[in-house]
Amino acid sequence: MSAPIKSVLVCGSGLAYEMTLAALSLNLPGDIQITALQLGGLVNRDSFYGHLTAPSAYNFFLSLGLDEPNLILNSQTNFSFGTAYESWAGHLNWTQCFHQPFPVWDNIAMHQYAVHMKAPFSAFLINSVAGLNGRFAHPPHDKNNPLSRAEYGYVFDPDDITALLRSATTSARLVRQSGVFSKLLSKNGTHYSLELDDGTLIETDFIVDCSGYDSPLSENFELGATRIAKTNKEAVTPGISLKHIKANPMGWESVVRLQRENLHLSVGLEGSISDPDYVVGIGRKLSPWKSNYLALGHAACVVEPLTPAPMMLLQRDIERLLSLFPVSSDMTVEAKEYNRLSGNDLEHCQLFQRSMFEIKNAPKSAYWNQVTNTPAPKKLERKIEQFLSRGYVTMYDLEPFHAEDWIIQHFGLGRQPERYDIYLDQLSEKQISQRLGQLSANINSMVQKMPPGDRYVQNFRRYLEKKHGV
Amino acid sequence: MASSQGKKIRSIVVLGGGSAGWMTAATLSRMLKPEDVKVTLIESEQIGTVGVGEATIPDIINFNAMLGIDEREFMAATNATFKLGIEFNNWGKRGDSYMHPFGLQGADMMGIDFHQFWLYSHQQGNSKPIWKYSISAEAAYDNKFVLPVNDNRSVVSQIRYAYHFDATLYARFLRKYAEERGVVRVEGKVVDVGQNDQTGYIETLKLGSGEEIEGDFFFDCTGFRAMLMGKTLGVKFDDWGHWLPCNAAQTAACKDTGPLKPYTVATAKDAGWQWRIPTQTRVGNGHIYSQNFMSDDEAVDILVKDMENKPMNDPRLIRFRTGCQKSFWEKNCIAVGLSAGFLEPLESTSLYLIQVGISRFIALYPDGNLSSVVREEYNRQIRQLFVQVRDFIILHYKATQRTDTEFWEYCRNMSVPDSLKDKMDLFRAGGRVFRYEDDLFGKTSWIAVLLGQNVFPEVVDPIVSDLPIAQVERSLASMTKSIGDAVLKMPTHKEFIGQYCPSPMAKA
Repeated sequence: MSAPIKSVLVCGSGLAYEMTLAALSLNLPGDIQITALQLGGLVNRDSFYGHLTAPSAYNFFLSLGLDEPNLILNSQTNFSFGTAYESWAGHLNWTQCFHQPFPVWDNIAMHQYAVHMKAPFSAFLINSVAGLNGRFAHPPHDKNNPLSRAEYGYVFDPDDITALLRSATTSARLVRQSGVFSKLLSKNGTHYSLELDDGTLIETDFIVDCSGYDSPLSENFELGATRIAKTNKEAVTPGISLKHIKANPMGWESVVRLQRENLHLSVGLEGSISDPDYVVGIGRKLSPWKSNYLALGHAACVVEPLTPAPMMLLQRDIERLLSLFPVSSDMTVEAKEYNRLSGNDLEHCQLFQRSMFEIKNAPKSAYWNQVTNTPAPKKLERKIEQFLSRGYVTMYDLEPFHAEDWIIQHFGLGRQPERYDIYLDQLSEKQISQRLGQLSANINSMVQKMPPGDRYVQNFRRYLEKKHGV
Repeated sequence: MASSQGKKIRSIVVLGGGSAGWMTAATLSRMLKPEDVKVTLIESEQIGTVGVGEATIPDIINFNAMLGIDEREFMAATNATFKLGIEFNNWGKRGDSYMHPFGLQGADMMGIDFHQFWLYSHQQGNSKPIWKYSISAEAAYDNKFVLPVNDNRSVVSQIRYAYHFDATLYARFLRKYAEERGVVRVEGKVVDVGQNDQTGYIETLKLGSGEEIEGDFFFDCTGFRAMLMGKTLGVKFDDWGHWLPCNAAQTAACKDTGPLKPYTVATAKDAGWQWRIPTQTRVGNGHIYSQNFMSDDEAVDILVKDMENKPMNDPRLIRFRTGCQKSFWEKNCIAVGLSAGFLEPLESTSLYLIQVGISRFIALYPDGNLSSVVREEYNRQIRQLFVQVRDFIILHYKATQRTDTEFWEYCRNMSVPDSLKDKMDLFRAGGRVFRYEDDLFGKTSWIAVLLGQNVFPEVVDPIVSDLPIAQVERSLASMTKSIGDAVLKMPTHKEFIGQYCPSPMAKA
């Protein structure tokens, strides 16, 4: 049998690096040594993780040792019901909110009622209505409350979270070092040591590379396109409880409202933004795990942060690493399964993002031309066809985006099914109309009672400070 | 207001009775109003049915619930008993025995799968098999049964169950249900199928009496004959015989003179395996085997020898081909049941495949235009299901250490689909099981079979093996104690049936 793993080397810097270290420190057996190698000379491109998490980040952060009070008290992290897209393709506006499964009445999904009535779907999503009104409150457990079906993610500054994790991740077996990468030393395809430019050698059984898309440890991956990006901060705007994304002919701009600042991100084609912070390539490594080397975060793939996809992928890859952490020096089986699952997740996230560009009368700008210059993948074609046919949502193997996300997106992009669920014919028009009318009335009534998002987080913070004696 | 659905299906014809035909008709009658859609079922008394799937899996409960069927009434009418799992004998090695129970085996701890704790304890000398940590298995081996309680704090809430029943009686029960809801049964044998000259769509079924039955949509429930799907529409069959080499079965029933067992038994034989399925009035037995490795006469001898009592009927030979249709929905026809495909009932999936074949149609219910978009999605989903069940069944044959017969040598050495190979490799390396979405068989099922057939991982989860063994043993002991205490208080399976759902035929 091959030898057991006794050491792991995590190298890189930034969000993926600190998240990986926190996860490994808290979960690996005590006899595995963890070396953290902070590499110098790397460009910080963490804003390309997109400033917005999915709702599943609540549990993920908990698993990294960060509970919600800690996040709210010790960083600028704020709550978000989702993303409001404005002027998408020049004419579409919708809220891609996070939502639990929609209600089912008489064995028929709620969205089919909306299809039947040709009613604007967003009126039946409480966090869409609340978000557009700048309201926020934690969803209650009471199933009779319409807000109980809402979900929320976090908007965050990646540098903030990185610093928070760095201060929180302390473990006797975690050795932190820094240096500039020189080369990997390998034998029979396995890396046994990493050499720094000062000649220092760090021996290891397993390398996790979190050093970004132009990682010095491995060959760059094949690029689909390049983007330039720029971030800036400004005084906080009250009343925002959604991430906002506005499209322009050369790209798009986003803004998230943190607790004390607004954080902007502009992304576009080269030449579209003055004084960009960085250039980044969109693409992926086909096999992020090869032998005893695993590329993670932007070292494995870069996805345009139009949705929470980049954070979803980072989170899933870290969770996957934990569940498939190699038990011996022969990692062939783990690598194969990791690459399969990771590839599936990326493909499915890309479907969701690509779907945003499948629009009739799309702008003829350079950005849109580039994004749509290849035909939509077959799987996406099937998804769109099925929805247009009768509002049916085709789902593939463990997709990161849920059926609700897809339904909201389809409606948001103006896709109207040709037919509704035939079982609705068993109900009268009045019954159908009453169902939707009642839901909409309940939502409007609840939203009126919800506080503005900024006031809510201030009060929540005060409550936490009092509780924790800060 | 949205416009109406346009052209609608006005009449559906189900060809063939039996479990598949009547499950289909019953579901359609539940979901569609007779004034909107006329449902006709054609069956012939002259054509026998193959009594597949007398044993079921827990999903059948959802199917019956969807129909609004009362459990007691259904069980009494079909001579049903409860089923808590399947006992597999002689699969890994001759003399081996394990239980694949429904529901959980043990409780996950610290976010780590239970089987990792069991593996660690097993390495340290714990001789208790993993199913000792399943209340379903423990109750099954004690011939006990109660319904699960709706209280998560009680270990009894973890019981999952299905049924054994007489499939012919089930079809009869559903026939009554469907006819009461407007399904029209027509007695007759189809002698000709009328198709549209241009589209090839089926338009009429001509009976021996000369009567013609028209329909907008047809269900082929004609069993292995696949009269509409194969013969009329020419859909090709995907043969999986190289992975699942059994191709014949001998079946016979006998009296049950022992305690009423709440579980199915599947015993591996020299060139196949034999089932034992207890109902309230008899035990169903069947010997599935490969004719390439065993003669029919030998198969009958083995069947009879292993039955606890004399056969009540002459053993009946059923020949089959394992695999499925390349397309399950072709033009305006769907194949459900054996006409869609056949996977041996080792994990009691026959009725489940029927159930899903119907429920996916209901979920994708088309308008009269029968868009290819809907058809393709249906075919994708059903094929995925067949492939997932196929892989799980192949696992039982592949994960054997038997070398005592040519048949088992073949199985042990055969190549398997990549999807299965990857799963087995992953488990062997570190005891990890990754399921695919919508996988019918979850982690517990894969682990039950893999460990039951001696496929042990090379390494136990390192976090678990870092724990003090005494701590792990304490946790495991507390699980077996709470299970043991609960089982002790349960009535016997026979007592429970006698009080809950006695069959009038059993009383007689």
